[in-house]
Amino acid sequence: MMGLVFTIWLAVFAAILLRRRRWAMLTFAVALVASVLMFLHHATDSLGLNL
Amino acid sequence: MTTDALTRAIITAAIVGMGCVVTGALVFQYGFGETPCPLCLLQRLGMFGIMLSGLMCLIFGPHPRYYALTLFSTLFGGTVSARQILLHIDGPAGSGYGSTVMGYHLYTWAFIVFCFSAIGVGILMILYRDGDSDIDTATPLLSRLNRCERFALVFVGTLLLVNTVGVFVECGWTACCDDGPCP
Repeated sequence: MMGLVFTIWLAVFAAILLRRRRWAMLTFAVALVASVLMFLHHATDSLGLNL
Repeated sequence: MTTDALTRAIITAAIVGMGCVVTGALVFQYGFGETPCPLCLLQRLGMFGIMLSGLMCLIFGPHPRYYALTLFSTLFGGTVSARQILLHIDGPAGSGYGSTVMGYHLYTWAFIVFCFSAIGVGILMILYRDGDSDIDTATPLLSRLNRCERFALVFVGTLLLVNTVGVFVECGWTACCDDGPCP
C-alpha cells in the first residue's frame, strides 16, 4: 500500500513534467489524501482500533 | 536581482536542500542498513510534497495555490514527525528509533526541517506579487529553466524513483511495518 502511495506521488511528478497544471493539482490532492489515510491507518492500528 | 529571480532562487535552493535531506535518509537506509519505519516513509512523502510543490512554482510560475500545497505538505510531515517524537518521548535515554545525528534522531531533524519550511513559505508569500505566475507554455520546458533549476528537477525525479522502487522492494504491495512488509 505504501508503494501505491509513492506511485501516486510519482504521477504528480509526471504531470508536472508534462506541464498539465490541472492534472498536477488533482494528483497532488489525491496523493496528499492517500498519505494522510496511510498515516491514520498507522496511528489507529497502533491504538488497536484496526480501522 | 529582481523579486521573481530571488523567489526562484529561494525555491530552487529549498528543493535541493530538501533533496539533500532525503538523500541523507537514503544513505542511512542503504549505507548503514537502517530499514525505514512507516512513519519515516510518511515523513519522506511530506518532503516530496514540499519539493514537488516547489517544482510546480518553478514550472507553472509562483502562485499562492502552490504555496498552499507546500503548507499542506509541511503540516502533514510535521504532524507525522511530531507523532514519532511523542511515541519515544517517555522512554529511557537513547531508546528512540534508529541512530542519531548530532544528538537528535532523524525524525526530530525532520520536524525541525518542516518548521523551517513553514517559515520559508511565509517569506515567499511576502515576496509574491500579482503577475508572477504568468508563464509561456509554448516554450520548451527545459529551455525555460536555468541550470540549477534543471538539476533540481532531475534530482527530485531521481529521488522519487529510487524511493518508490525501494519501498516496493521492502514491502511490495502490502503495508510497511517496522521491519519490512506487515505480516
